[in-house]
Amino acid sequence: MSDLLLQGLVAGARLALISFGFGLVYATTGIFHFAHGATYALAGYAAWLAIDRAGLPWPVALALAVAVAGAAGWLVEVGLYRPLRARRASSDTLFLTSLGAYTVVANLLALAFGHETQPLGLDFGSVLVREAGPDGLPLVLTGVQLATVGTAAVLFLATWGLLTRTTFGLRVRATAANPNLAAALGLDSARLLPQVVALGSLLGGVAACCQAADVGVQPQMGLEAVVAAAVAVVVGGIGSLPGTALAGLLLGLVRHSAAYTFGARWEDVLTFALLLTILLLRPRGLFGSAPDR
Amino acid sequence: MNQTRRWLFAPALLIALISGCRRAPVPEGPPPPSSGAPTTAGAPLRIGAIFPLSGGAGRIGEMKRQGADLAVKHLNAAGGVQGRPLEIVYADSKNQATEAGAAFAKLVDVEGVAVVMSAMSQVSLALAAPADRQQVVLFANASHPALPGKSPFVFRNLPSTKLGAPLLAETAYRDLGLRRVAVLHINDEYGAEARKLFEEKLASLGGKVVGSQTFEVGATDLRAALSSLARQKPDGWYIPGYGAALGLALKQKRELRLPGVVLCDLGLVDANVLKSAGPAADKVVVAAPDFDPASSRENVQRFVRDFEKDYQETPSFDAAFQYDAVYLLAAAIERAKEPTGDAIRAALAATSDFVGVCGPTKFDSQGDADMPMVVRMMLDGKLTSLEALAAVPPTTKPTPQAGGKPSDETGGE
Repeated sequence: MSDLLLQGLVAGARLALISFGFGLVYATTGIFHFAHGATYALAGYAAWLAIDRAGLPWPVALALAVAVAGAAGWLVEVGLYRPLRARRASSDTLFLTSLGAYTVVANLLALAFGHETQPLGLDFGSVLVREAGPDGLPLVLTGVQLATVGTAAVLFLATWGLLTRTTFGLRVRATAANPNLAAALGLDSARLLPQVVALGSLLGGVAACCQAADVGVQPQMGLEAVVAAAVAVVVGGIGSLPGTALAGLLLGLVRHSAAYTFGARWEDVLTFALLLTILLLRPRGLFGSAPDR
Repeated sequence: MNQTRRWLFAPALLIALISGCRRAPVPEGPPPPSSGAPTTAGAPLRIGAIFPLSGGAGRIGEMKRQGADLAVKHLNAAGGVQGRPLEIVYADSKNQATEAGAAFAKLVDVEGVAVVMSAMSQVSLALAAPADRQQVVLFANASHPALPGKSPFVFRNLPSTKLGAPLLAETAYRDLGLRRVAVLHINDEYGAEARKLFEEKLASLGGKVVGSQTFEVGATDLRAALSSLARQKPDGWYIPGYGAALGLALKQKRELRLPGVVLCDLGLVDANVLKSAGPAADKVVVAAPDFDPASSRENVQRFVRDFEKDYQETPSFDAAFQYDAVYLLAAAIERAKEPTGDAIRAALAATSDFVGVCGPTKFDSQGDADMPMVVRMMLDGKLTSLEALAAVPPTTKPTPQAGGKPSDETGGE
């Protein structure tokens, strides 16, 4: 059982990272940031291109891929969200724009590189944690899995520190709590928001690199990521970043346990059943506070 | 407007002249479809193709399209069919029966084709009824055993699951000494049928399928399913599937250090799957027809050489079968007195003496390909003889008596 828990949490670490980035953008801009899937897929493909096509060493390639995600996020805010906000677009319009950005990117990637999964061909070995667990199975964690957990933990703590201990963080939290009041007090959202979306996309980009190294890339990879992130944000409580990250972990655990116990067909059924149950019992999510924005 | 048209017309004419004047190479290999001049003239002779060209099974469609396109290229260079250039009109099924149904109607009603090639079991099963109703030849390269019986208009040259799965079960039991096999199959008609046929055969011999799980075409994390099956302590695995998910299943089984030899179908023999699997594809046992890219046969060499030139990869079984399929159809259309579905069906059923790149092919009374299957093993991306498997670990060619003790190390990783 403890092995199942561990494997589930490992699977959840990547989801937590994606959800954290998505939640950060959602809480600050108020936009249901579907384009998170686009920046995610772009990072994955950038990593693949840099390693497979350009032959760059993997640390350089992955750093480049994360930078691509950040730049793409910045561009989404400056090129799409800001002009629409200036024209007083409704949140529905912003959501559809975001969805459109995702669809365009996913289809362009498919057109350019085909629909099939492209493996990166990286192998970081694996660690035998235990010869035989309670089920008699060896407990093995791959290098990529361990790196994912480590990176997710470090990035979560670093971002949390950034948000709670710096003036930048104060501005982000102020804008998230009440954008109008923050603007009235002189906070320059035109400068702040691109930085936040870029930061959220960087976090997603790191997660995309972890997925790419583990299982390769394919054009629709952003969809699974953004759907999981959306579920995690709702389950964790909109506006609660630790809640979102925790919900991401929980989601990984539920999906893994569902597949392990009942078969892969039950992954989505149980994931969304969990979502509905939590929404019915706690409409504001597990860690959500009363709505004041 | 006229000006534009003229501009477009000029290069088109130039290309037509150049390609028309080029001396066509003399055809080798598959039966010469044309007895006449090596140049084609007149309106193109069109056949339809409904393949999954996007979505999770897009890779399968792409490989089939590559094989079909190369066959058209070779055929047209050798004079086309009935002196006319052959042309394939493609439609994307997205591996969905409803999409395929709409595409079929369009190909038959609008494009007026009398022959449609298709792929994937669930799509082809759905197309069999309209093909029968409209008397259109459906050349369905999918492996579901029920497919050929659906209509006299349905043919295929891809081996049926009923040839591969039971043969693998027999190999597992008799040659590899496996008694408890876990099945992880792709979640579609083909995967479910492969599991059923494998399980029946293994049970009839005295072995047992100790658990089965499915995976989706686009699955990336199969660790939970693999671990769950491993709880049953299988001594072998049957993983019928295709696409990157199959490669990842093998890779993750190896990463999790789960013991037991793996048996797979033709889906493994695909450059992309092998790349996803990496070293985990080594020693996987495969039941496959006798197509060997390294064969010294002239038609195979030409096919492989031109395929590698055009697509920079070794042709898969899917590409090879589709190449042969187009040649089989071209030969039948050539022999048919009139270009109707019924005449082509009769000509196709009468196929004899056809030797394609996948070897001699003829059809049984149901339009199913009758071909020998061989069990081989993947090693360094190539299929080799099964004997090498026994030579690798310091064990076992277990005795074939029932109840013989299975060895844990058989072909282990």
